[in-house]
Amino acid sequence: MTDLRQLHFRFRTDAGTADASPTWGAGEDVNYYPGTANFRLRIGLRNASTVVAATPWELYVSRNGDAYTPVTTTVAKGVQSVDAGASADDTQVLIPRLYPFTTDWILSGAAIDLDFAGSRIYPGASFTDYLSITRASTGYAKTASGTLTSFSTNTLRITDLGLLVEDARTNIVLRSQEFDNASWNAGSSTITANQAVAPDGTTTMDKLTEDTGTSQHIAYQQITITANTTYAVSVFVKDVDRRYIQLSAGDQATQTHAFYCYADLQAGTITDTGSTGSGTFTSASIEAFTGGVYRITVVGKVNATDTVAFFIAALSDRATQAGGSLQAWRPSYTGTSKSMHLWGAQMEAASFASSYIPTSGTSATRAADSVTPIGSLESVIAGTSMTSVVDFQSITDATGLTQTLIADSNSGFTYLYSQSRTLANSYSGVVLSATLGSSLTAFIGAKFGYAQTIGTGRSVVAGGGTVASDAGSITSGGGLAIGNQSGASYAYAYFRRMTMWNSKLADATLDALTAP
Amino acid sequence: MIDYFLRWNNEAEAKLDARRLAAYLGTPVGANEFNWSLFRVLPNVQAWRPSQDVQNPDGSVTHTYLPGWFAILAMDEVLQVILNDGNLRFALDRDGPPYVIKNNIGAVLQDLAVSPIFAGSHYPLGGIN
Repeated sequence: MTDLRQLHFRFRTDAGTADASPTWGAGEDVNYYPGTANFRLRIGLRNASTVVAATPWELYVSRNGDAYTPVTTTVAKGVQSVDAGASADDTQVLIPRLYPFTTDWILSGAAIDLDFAGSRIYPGASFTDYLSITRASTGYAKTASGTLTSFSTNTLRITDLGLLVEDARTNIVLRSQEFDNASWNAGSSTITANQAVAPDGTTTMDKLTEDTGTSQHIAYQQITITANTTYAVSVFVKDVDRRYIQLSAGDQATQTHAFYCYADLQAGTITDTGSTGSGTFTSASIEAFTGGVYRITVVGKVNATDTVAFFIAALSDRATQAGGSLQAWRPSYTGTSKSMHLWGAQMEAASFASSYIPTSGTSATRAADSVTPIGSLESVIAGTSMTSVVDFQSITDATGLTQTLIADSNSGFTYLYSQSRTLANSYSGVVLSATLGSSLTAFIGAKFGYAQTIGTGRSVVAGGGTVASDAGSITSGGGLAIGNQSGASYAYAYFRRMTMWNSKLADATLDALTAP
Repeated sequence: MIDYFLRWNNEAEAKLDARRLAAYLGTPVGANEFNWSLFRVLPNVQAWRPSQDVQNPDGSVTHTYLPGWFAILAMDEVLQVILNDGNLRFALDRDGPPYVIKNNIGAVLQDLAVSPIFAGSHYPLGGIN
């Protein structure tokens, strides 16, 4: 390990490309606002007046406090400048960080180690050396600190939670973060635009303030839905001084059939759930984001024949419904001018909420993430002998899902997938499955492992459980994919790390590598 | 990113005809089915003219949907094979101006709305926003 104590790091932005005659800026180790053009970082490493020898270094950059992403692993002796890429806009803060380069983190003997969550790559310089991505829309991903990062089209969604892979989803709520727009209605309340910082860092959370009447204090939107379809309804909310919210969807025609949940925005808990009329409640959840913001999700079905529904965010003076009456669907109480912040309303035809999809005047679709292994990663997976260990975290605990990790669309074989939250399987005409290790809680996170030698045998294990083996193996048909198979069975997960060996590791080793 | 707006008479016809452009649109399955490449194809898009909207007493709006079955194909490139395809209605460039790459339906884009669209593909055109 390199001793950093006497070293002197200096960074500055540099509009040019030449390394000669650097002129240092006034700031050192400070934040920069580099603007929208590609920028370069000028770097010098000194110990007092002595230029540090060419120790391998890794230069990382964070934008707006997001995860540090690697710029280069070849910072050399003396002063140089390196391309640090473009910035999304001129308000972004650039924070450089320099690490001594080390290979200690690489799993022993691995041919390729892609630590998405840790922004570490071996042996290449970029994740795009190993993975290609097609996604015809923008998309959001969450960071460990609870912020939302927006990614442009055809860009891997990688944060410090990992690589996010999802299927296509459509948000049918219009003006999803403009509750003051005419697409929304306010009942016995007022809506004030742009009053708080949203999880994406923009000051776009609107404020819903109850009046002093005895009524339902709500923000709602009328939405055309598909009859007899399950919907996941979600919204980002933050307590101002009104502690409880009821989130619901109900029919427009009779205003009788609905499903709902209550949430406590101080405790961060779902406090009650239910349905009225012919509405069907399925599930509810609450997820913490930065700045005291929570995303509330309720899943259910309005009524088999209804085609028009209300999306309703209702302020509530209580944590639970009282008796299941219609009034309990949309709680009525005497307001005292208390309020709550709202942002990011979403309604999608699904059994769980996916990542946030912003909308404006029409509904919007986040396209599927088509992630494909390329180059040496493709070669290792398709090699005669291989081992893969994938550490991933599902974004849902919905049951009955088949979540693909690595598959071959052409052959129809799946190297690794998870099904119904309890199995890690491999398929080659015969399903080979391994039960998760008992110490794991399903889908809080798990490591799955698969190893094979073509024509000889294969092994699969999940979460350090019992290794299952047989004589089968998979020969790639050339259609390898990460996170889906033939455009179906998407992972809906963050791939935290993916490590590959170009040999079949022993079962005991595979077992140890997947232990929690 | 170019959004190509395609139209067929109905979904069944689309699934059969899309085989011509399978390299872009998806994968044929069996004799009559077609798996759309949902990473760049948005099937079953509805289109209407805002000028024909009817405002209802309850505040809602009723659209009169244009006949046919619509899909959006999004590609980085300007592809002549798509631009010249008989099913193309119009093509828009998200990174415009200019936004309109090709328009086979006349000068009516200001009075056209579609739903859904790809996230991030907002246009200053009529209802496509």
